[in-house]
Amino acid sequence: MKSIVQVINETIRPAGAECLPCDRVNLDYERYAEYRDSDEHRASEVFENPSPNSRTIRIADIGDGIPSILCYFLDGSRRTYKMADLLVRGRYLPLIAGQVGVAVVFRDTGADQVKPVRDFCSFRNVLAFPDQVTAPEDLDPLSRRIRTESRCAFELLRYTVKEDRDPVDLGIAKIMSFMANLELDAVHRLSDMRLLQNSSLLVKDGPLRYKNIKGRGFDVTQFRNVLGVSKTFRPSFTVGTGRSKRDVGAITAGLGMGERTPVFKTVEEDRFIGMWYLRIRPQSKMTNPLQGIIKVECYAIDDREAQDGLDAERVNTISVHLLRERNVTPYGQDLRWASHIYPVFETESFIKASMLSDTCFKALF
Amino acid sequence: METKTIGKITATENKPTTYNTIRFWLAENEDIRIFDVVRVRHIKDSYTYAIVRDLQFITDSAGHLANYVSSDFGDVAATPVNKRLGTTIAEAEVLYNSKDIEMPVRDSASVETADAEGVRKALGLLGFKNPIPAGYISMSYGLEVPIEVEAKYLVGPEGAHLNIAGISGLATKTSYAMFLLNALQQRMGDKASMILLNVKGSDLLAIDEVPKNPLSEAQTAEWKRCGLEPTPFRNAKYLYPYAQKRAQAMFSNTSLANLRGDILTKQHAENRAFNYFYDVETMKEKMAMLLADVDDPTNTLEQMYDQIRGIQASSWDAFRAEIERRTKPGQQSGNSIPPQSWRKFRRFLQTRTSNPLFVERSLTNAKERRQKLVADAVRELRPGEVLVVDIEPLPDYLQCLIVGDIISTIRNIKLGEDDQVEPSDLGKVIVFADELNKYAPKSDTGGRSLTNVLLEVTERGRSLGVIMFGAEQFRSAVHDRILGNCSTNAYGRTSPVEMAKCPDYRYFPDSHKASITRLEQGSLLLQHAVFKTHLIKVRFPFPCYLKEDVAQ
Repeated sequence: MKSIVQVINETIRPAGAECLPCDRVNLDYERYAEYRDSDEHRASEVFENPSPNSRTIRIADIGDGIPSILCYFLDGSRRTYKMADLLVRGRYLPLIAGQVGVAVVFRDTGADQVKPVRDFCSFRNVLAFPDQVTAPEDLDPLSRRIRTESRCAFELLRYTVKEDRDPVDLGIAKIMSFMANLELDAVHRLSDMRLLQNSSLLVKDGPLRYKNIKGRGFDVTQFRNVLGVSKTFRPSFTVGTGRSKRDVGAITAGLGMGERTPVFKTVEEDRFIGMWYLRIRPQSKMTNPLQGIIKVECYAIDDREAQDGLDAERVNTISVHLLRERNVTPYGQDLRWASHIYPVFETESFIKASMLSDTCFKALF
Repeated sequence: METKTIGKITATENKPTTYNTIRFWLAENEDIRIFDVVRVRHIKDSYTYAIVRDLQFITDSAGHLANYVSSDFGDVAATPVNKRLGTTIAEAEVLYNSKDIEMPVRDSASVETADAEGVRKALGLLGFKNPIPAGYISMSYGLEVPIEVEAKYLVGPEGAHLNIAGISGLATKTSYAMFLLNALQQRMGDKASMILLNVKGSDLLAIDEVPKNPLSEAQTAEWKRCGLEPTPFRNAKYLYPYAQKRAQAMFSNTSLANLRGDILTKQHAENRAFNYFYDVETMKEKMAMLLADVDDPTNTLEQMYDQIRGIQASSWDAFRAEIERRTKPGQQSGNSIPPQSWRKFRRFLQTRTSNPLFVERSLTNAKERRQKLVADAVRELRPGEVLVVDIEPLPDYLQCLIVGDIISTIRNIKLGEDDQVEPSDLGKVIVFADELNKYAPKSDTGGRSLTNVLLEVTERGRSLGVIMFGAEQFRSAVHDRILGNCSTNAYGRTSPVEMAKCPDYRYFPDSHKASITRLEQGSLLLQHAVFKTHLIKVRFPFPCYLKEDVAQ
């Protein structure tokens, strides 16, 4: 059995390139971030029907006996590594490897614990090559060779080298994009199988920022019952216009326990997204005003919603069920515990527990 | 019984599987107990068997504070939608591998309920030449496996002696000893005789009678499960302390509050009951046992015993008169024992021989009085017979006398020092004595004649064929060397205080210690020389002899 670096070298040397050893490092410890808000668009207007009179809306509680409508939870996670350097035509570019996992867990009514839904869970090993080393048509043969000679299944990706960007970041971004596609695929399949309904919503960890999958169009109607719930957000993000223009941090700082903001409209490609902020922990117990607040996103599905905004009653219903998710918490295990939804935390734990250890993964090379 | 998968092995960096220890998580809704045996699929198509030692439920909670926070910061009325991730982790001690593989079992290996044959192999119960039923183990998943001990390790010659410890009142110590003795009688009836000392009420005074209420089907099934017939003891004889009470008690000192007259009458009619006594001639030889608990730092008593053997007296009155004479100054005939020592001895004699037991052999009504010397009763014992000696009505020092007399008589016979009986006539002799701490206390550092006799018996008994089945409330109160010579030990329910005091419990895992404090009636922890694990939790059948309704 050959190491992956050996196989790569045997493949690319005839073309004058070389795969050179480097200190194999995990890139997540320094660069890991749940998501970046930098590509969020401005949210200029309230996107809720009927439009609320106040900047804060108190969520009415519901009884304990009512089953939760939040039944599916989706998360994606990856570990990225710099495994080797590629020397090609005078350039010295990194080979980025990754373990990518996407998992969906299901919480049945009355069940004690969530269970992974295997059909919608994907775990992949990926290798991101700079586009200068490989042509698109080289990827499949190289992948097959690695599978045969190294007995490892890897999907090969190409990242485009840009002069003004760190190639490591570009490699990671490619892997992130691969993971987002796996997530999107899982949502599509859940929707295709009609598992997502008004009474069984999917909570996706992080914002709803999906691009079209190649070869498969993005059908927003399949996201009718999908929520994006983010643990962190950029407080300097601006909502509103004119005199009512304010930073999100200024609005959310005044939210009391069980209160939400109005829904604001933002646009992703040509799709409208309603987003609002909900405080799920009492501010008096938090270390800062932004702790204990989650950001919720939901696509506007039909024309009426796109025009008038999300139905306020539905937003309130979703909010109250999200509020109930506050217990139990991963307090002490995750710095973002105050905004973490426990089933999402479990999904994340499941993915990480399913991955190879860093030592094992590095040893493949 | 079908086996089923109940969990999977978990081996981590901090807690790996080892040659000796495994851990596994349990599937939801599975219910196992400490001392259950499970089997694990291992390499080369083998199975590794392990006995569960501890159970823990763990969650992903980082601490108690996380749980407090998870209840809305201490709101007891909060009802979380989510249940914290958690599972039961069982720790088990490896017993055996079906292909003799000693490699640690692998992570994620399937853990299954065990099969009976595998459990017996794992516990080391196969290949016995002469298995003696010792109860059965009952697994939480329904499997029940009979447990045996190897006779040559229970009654010699390889190992011998049994000790049972546990607090009184939970029907375990005596009941278990009687079960084991019954099993020995059923399996080794032609090779072993038994002497049982009755120290509590009427516990053992009708061991050959069927219980008043017949055993239930379940109770009978327990006996069958152990491969035994639920029958009372056979060939039992009884020795009661002699007294001058003719009427109902029939010249015995046994309290009629303890024994029904009709049972006693029946025993007499069948010539199975006698009244033991001590005449002067016998007692002169056994005076040391009567005063076994008296300190004798200057060996004065020893010298007295020598002189006493030379006293010519045909009655207790004459004997006492001779002792009285020696207490007077100037009456000694050239010996060095001063009168004040004889006075001290006289005081002991007065108090300790005031019991009606100390009489001469009666020449009238001999048939009714049924007098018999303890030593003679022991000499007449034959394999397959059981002799019950009632010492319950006697004070402690007389109980010690009787026990000492019995043990030393057996020892003398076995050593060939008794000219009336051949050593082989008795077969193996098993002596069951409750309250062993009374006869061989831990505090005795030497000098007590009874302790010395018991020590000799436990140290040499396995080769001589004298076997001690002892029981006591507290092991910490019994002489270490007596306990150390027992190849089989049973631990009944006891208190944490006793476990802290007694070094024998020190090496028990915490879970076993906890288990001992809450053992239910009819079960105890058994340790036997050939078991492949230190302790097995055994259950044993309900006694099948008359215990209740023996009293008036």
